[in-house]
Amino acid sequence: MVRKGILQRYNHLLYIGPHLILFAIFGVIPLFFGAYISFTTWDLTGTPQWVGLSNYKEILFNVDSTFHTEFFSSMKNTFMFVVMTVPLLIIFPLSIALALNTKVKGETLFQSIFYMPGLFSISAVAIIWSVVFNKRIGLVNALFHNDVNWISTQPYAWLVIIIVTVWWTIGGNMIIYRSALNGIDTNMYEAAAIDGSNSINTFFKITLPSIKFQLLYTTVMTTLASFNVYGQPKMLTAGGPSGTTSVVMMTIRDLAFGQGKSIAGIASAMAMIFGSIMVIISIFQFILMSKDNTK
Amino acid sequence: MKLKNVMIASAVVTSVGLTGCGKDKTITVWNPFTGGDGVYFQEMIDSYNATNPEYEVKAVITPDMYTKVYTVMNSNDTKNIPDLLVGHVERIPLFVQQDLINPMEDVLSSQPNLNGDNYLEQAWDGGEIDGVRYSVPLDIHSILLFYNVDLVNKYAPGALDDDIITWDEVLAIVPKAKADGIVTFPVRTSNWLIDSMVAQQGGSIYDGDTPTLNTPEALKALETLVAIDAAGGSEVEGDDAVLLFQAGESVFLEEGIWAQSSFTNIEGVNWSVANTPVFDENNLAAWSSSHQFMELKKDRTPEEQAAIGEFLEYVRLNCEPWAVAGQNVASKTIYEQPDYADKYPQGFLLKDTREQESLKLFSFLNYGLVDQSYDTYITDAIRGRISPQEALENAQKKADDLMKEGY
Repeated sequence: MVRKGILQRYNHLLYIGPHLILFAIFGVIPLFFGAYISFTTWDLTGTPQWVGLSNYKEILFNVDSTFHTEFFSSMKNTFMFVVMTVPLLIIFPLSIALALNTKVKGETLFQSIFYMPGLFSISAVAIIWSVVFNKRIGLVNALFHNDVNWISTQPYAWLVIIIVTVWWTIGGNMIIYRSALNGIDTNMYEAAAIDGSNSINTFFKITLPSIKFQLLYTTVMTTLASFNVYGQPKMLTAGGPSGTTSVVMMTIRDLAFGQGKSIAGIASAMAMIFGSIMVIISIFQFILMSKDNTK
Repeated sequence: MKLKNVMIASAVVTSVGLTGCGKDKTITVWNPFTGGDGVYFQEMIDSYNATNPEYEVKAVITPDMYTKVYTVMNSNDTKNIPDLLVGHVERIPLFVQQDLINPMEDVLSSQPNLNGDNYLEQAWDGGEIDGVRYSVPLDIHSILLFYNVDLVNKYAPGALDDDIITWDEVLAIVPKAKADGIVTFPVRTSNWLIDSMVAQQGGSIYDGDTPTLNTPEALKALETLVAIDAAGGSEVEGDDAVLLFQAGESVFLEEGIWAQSSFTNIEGVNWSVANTPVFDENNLAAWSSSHQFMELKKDRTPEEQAAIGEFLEYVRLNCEPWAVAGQNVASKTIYEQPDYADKYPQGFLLKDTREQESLKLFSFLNYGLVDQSYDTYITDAIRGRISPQEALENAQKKADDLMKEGY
């Protein structure tokens, strides 16, 4: 009896245990280790030298420092990317999911087509699109008879990055919205129709509130993923022109694993500051979106 | 937060991916040859193993190798530390300072022929720090000028008759080539070009351990590249310069010698090679580096050291596949063969002392900073977005700031 009781009491550990161990190894331990390194100077060899808050001061307050300018300029670029892409990555997949949910002919085919780009690696995606946008031989310039150098002039460089990002990542959210839309009780739509609700009204009063949690989840996750952008600007524009598409993850990686000695202390401090900002924004989004407006 | 994930993940990948390293009677050799050259390196290893040595050699191609070096050295797991490492000569001063590599005297003591008399001078010298021998060279690899023979004959007949072209001659081609829609000189390997052009003027990109990036010589170098771009002589950003050359749409291509394997089979393009363009024909200089065999710190038995020596001696005498791969071998036994320069397009760089001395190694403690600092600003200057002076000031500032952080 006692044995069974203990098993019953602790069997949840069996389920969450494996994940918890992996989470600790790949999440918690590196996080604390990174936090520690951010208070040191360390070149990945020997013992890190404790320097207190000096890395943070250098990044945040020393306006003459390259680290300060690079961090804030890449931070600005990253925010710009987030602000530009997140709404598109919610609106486009939702529109496609709504369109597909009207039971069009070949809906699974279209769903597969939209989902497929996400299966490719960013390297392959970037190579394909850089040819499409190439000034000399690119499809886009040939179609529109223009002479723009897409990757080295703004705002075109951003435009390329956004187009590629939307094309590449549209599928994930779309699948979530499709399944959410399928879960809405059709009786509600019938009732609304009987009450004379038009389609716009129905969308805002029934559809959106019904998939509220999926919207919340995708918004938070898409925002976090967008903050972590690296591959698209790295492969398409290499951070140019004039560093205008250089994002935080590029700055951090170049410092920690650049061509010379590692500047792991400064890189970790940047990662901690950046991580904290992401957490704060996610909490804010969560509070804002999970407010129950129906009461 | 991602950063830490990357660090731990690579530790795990290394330990999982390389299980079996360091087993008895095996010499593992980490190398960074992820491209086509990896095949030729493996060919050398296979031929060595075919001699039935007591210790077999196992080559492990290691992408992102320098990051993994730090991971494995931090893991305190000697089993996973490779017995040998093929790394770049510029890393040696840094690895010595970071106490990551062992002197190789034990290896050399059993092999009297592994000495400076048998290798290209600068490649051998690069492996010695403060009188201590830390590595044995495999090759010297440089940038060089690929040129389209027909286009040079059309736009600048005779310019390369003496096998060297000046920057002024390159610039003179630009308007003529541009009129035909032909690119003259893609500027993509700009960091290496600037290193070379500074050396051509007798300048230096370092003073002791400190990078000196903002110098009159660097300014002249950068202004020359800016002039090529401004006149319409370079590729546009986003162009693949190698493809342009292969398609016969570019007169020149300044590239690493190791990349030539992709040219050897192009149809319709009559190409040849020459040393990097110069300011004056008496002062040749081309950026070069050297792959060197070195030993990451760990204990090795005398038998293992002897086996490593035996392998390196074999490579010294049998590294010809490495020349087939496009590299210039450092072993005199191979490159002093009378037909070496005829057999291999890159061979002319070792044919006489004038060419040999033009191959400049930039091996100093903080070389890594030079590229890292130039990278950010040089392209903007070449493409006319900031002034050359501003680019060099910014690059120097960045190098100084990086130096402050524990260099």
